[in-house]
Amino acid sequence: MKDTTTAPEPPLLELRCVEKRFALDQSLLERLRFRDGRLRMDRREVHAVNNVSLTVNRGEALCVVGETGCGKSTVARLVAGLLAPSAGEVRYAGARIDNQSRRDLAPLRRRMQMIFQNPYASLNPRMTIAQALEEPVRYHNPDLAPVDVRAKVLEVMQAVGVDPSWRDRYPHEFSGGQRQRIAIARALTVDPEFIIADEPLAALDVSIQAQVLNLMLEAKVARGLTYLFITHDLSVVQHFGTRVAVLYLGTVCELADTATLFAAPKHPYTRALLSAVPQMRDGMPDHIRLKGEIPTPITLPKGCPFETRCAYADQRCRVEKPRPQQQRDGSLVACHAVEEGRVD
Amino acid sequence: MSLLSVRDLTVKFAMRSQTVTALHQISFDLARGERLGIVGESGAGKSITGFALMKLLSAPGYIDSGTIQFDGTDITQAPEAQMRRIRGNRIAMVFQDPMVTLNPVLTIGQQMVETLRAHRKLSRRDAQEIALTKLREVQIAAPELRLKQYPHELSGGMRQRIIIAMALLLDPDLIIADEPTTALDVTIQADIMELLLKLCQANKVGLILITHDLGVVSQLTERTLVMYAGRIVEAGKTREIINDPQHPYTQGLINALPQQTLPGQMLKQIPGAMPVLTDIPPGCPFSPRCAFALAECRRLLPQIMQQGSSEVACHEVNRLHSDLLLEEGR
Repeated sequence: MKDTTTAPEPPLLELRCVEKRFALDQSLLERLRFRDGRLRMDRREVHAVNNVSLTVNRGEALCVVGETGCGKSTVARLVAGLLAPSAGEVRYAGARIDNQSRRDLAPLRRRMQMIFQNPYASLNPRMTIAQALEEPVRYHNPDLAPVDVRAKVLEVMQAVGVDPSWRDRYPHEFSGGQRQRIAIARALTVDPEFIIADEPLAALDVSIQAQVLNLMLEAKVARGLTYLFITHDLSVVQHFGTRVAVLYLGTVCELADTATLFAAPKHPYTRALLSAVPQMRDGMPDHIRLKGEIPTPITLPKGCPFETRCAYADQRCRVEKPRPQQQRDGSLVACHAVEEGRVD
Repeated sequence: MSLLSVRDLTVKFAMRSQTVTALHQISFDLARGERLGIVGESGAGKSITGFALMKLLSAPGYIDSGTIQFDGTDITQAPEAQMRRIRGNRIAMVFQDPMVTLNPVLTIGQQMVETLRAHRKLSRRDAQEIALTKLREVQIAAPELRLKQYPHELSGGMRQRIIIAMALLLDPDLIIADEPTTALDVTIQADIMELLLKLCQANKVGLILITHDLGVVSQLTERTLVMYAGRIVEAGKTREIINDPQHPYTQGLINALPQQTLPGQMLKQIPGAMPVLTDIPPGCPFSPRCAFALAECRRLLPQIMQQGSSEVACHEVNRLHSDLLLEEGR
């Protein structure tokens, strides 16, 4: 690195106490409610992301895992600027980005690209592959000659295994795996440094998943990419992630290096999650059974979000929200029971 | 005698321009109370197999040839009226998305009672009692309340429990479950899998589990069929297929999983993709993606043959085994 300044480089991405709430009742009439014999104004909200703080350092692949409705996709959208946080800050390379105008964000979009789950929805059905790949290059480099645009696209196509003969074909002519490859190529044509990938493998078959994951690994090494990788698949996390954030009901319950998390999971929820993954070993593993179901994000539990299903929950867990505490091995765990040594 | 015996089952789809074969001469047996997995990627023909067994293929799909012996009678010849007595009653089906199976405008109780009374002479009250017993069997909290609820009032995991309760309602001999846990979160999936296994064992119900997830097959089934492009390419005991796969495709499928490679290393990917039904390559359908393929493989279709304890359809495996036999003979 040619950077010789003494100040430490800020993390590429930083979320500071980010909150995202979605209003459920939009109209005035929906908000009027009868309670305690009186008409009141009330606004119900979905608490999708609650007080999330994360950093992603350059060259890292931070995986965000969690189950349906835990807010992992909302995190991706907040980072990409597709949603504005209700509170807190999103910082990119040291500068705040959540309060900027679309125009100010434009140069940033070149540095930060997004890959979505459904490759069928992320390509315009009326554009040929060449048009879809050239458009972002032209948008971000308006002065580039058409020849150079084409050369750039060809280079990326070859790098990610998109056959240049596909140029004049349309997205419907390709399989899911091929389309995801094209979507990745599209993200890479503008030479980004940061990729937000929201469940990029979930819609793909096993043998195709391996191809796409390899492609993303290759791009990481060859282009020095940094990833924010959203997934529900723990085997992918273990393979791809350098660090993992486990999300439950919009709250980070554990944040650790991948190897540490899989070797020594600490939060009761992380443990239950890891124990539930179907294994190819003989016999049924004894997974940790969670009681009940995920509470709705409309009325969050008062204390720890996991308290309603946790085997270790006590009075303190019911009333006081746990704060992330640094553990001896460097992981951050938000759990009163872990803090008090009640979890073995 | 086996409960289900499928011989040379061939399913075709009559399209406007051509007729494509979706299933090629599938043969397998299922013993009473046995649990069988059918594994493959999208387009392999595993769901079609499930539908064909229930005779639920809708036009343009049809059973072209072959037989399906269920409990001694060939149901490929059975009239629709007889099939209706078998479906739900002796063979039940569980699908990936419970909302497809559940009627959104009827309460859970109405649907369960209706199913029971369609097949058995029961009073409403007795039917309700059976429904409650089954809901308790699938460990649903507050079963009395659930009977009065509509599907949309329940969570995904609870809906799938109810589907399983409904599948068990008439004490079937066989449950065909098509990706029953795919739409669920892992923690819920683990609960449902455990439940399904326990209930099948306790009630001696046979299970055909259709899935893409080798982990799920490994934990729930005793025997496995691996399908590729409408054919069975490998069949055998689940443990042996997982621990010692013979067919290059099965090997590739297992080796491609992230847990088979050290973190951060390149995964062992299978190149290419499964052929579409309208464009199946000549010879072995896997040959364009296979590292072992020779000229023979691109020309001649391999027949499924007994190799050790598994059945495999692969020229390369045949070559290896005949070499071994030669050596032993010397």
